[in-house]
Amino acid sequence: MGYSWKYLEHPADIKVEVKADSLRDLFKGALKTLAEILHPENLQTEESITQELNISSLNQEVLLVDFLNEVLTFSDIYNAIFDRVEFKVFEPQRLRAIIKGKRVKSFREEIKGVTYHGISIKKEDNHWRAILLLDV
Amino acid sequence: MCDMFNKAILQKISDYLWEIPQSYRKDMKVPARVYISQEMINTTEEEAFQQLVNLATLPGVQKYSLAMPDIHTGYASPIGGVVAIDSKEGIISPGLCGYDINCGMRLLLSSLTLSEIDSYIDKLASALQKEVPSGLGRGRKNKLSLLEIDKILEGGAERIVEQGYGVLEDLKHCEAGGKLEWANAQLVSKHAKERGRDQVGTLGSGNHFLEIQVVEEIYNSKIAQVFGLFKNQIVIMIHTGSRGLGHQVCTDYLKLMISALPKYKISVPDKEFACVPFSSPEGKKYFQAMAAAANFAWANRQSISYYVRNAWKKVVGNSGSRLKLLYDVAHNIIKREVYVIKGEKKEVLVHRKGATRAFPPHHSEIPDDYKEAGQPVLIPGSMGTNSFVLAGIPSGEQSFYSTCHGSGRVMSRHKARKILSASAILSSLRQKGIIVKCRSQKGITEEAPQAYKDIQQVIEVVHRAGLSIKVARLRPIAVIKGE
Repeated sequence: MGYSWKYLEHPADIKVEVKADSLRDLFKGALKTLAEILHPENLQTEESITQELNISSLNQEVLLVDFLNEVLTFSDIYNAIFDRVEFKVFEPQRLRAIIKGKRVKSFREEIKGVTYHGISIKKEDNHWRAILLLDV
Repeated sequence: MCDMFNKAILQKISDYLWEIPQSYRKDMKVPARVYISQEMINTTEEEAFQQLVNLATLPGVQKYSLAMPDIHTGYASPIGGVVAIDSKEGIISPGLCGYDINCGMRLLLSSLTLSEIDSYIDKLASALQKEVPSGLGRGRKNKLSLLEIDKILEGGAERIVEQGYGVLEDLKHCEAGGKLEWANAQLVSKHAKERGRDQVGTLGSGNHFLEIQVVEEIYNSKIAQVFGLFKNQIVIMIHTGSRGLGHQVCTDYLKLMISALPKYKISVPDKEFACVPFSSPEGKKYFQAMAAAANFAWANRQSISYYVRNAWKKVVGNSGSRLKLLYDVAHNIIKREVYVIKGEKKEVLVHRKGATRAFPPHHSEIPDDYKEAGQPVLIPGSMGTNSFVLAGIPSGEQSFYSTCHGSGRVMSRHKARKILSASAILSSLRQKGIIVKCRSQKGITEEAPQAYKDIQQVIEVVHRAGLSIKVARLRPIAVIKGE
């Protein structure tokens, strides 16, 4: 999959832009972006973890936020970073997926929530682009 | 999203109060007002004012949408936003309380002066860092049972004191006695409870901190005496909230409310404003779940106080006497309060997002021993700068008895990391005689004083505008931060 992300300016929180070749890769790329922001240096353990998700939302944009928030929830409960996802169902308003990652001793960032503020998913030329604001 | 705000729209009411007229945008139901100086307007980003305008569009909004001088861009409400909504006909909105439900402040007072304890400060700061987990994923070693979490959600700080981790006087000096009676643990999800199991008694990261401070200046000796404050006194300030449990409650109910928007035919300028009528089943449920998360935050700060007192006793010994709680107050919360509006008493839901309640003398909701003085208000500065104790006054009614909550950011965390040096910041703090205990450089650069507004300016505005009055100025001597 191809994806890229970068920080955008925001006075208090973390605003990021994620780009990917397809909509499905945009969701995967957003998950990896979250993992990179959360990821501590040299503090991961070798213990793997998988978790099943089943999410229904109002529309695709809300679904992306709900997906990432669900990932954050399990990160916090299990002290884990999830950086891979396998979609079993991937529809505009619903997804079922297995997320995979590793347990960690600590996080680099405390993300309180992925907000719905200014959330956008757009198809531009030959790629998909999402803007996300994370409350930290 | 709306067009960029033009600051020329702001109309001056007084040196410290500016208004955006209702005519500015046709969806505004009331004017928007901001307590701020001309100088601070220049350094506040346009988007924050736009978000204040958005607050004025909410169903049931009363009089004005308001912002305090520490206003900066948030994600629905600006940080520093206050809005009072008619409880009968208006809405309730989780985004206007935020993810860190009942993030708030607590101040513990010692009976010792700086000269009496000077040689112990480094040791005390290390003991505080050891006793109170401050970082990310650094929960407490023992996880509480879900049953115990339910008891905390409904009992708040009272549940912690009942178990011997505090005294009854602590509860009297907490907003709402450290427990909102209408909390319902059954309306908090299992995910939220799971997140909270190892987080009671933990500081968290970001701008949360513990500080050892010294009372540097007394502005109002009469009120300071009532509060038990005196010059050169050593005090300990705690800033934290409801941790992952509170974040999850906000996430859960925002999701619920977004799906309920069409049902109630409510249109909002941004999904983060998702709201429902307060009288609806969803609205009532959120209010009870928010109360439970608020209780969790009070329990968290009460538990931290226990560990702080332990560290104090270990280092200073019994001669140091007990640390007394001055007050504990929230700055992210939604409360039912009654105000006279258009000549009639009306119950409103005051949403405070980065704003502190400041009730005046003789208000029924403040402790008996502070009745003549007014409610203590605790305002933290940024790392290494002064903090303040203020008191509520009658003229604060103009802002639904709300005042500022801190300095307010002016530089993004990302930019701070890029342009500031942790070692230079630490060196500058050391030169000022401030010890910093923080396990990461990132935590130091992101929270550097340069990333925030000048707290002195913020305090002058709320003092001169009559929202609250200055009682004492506190100077940090040791900072213990999350990462």
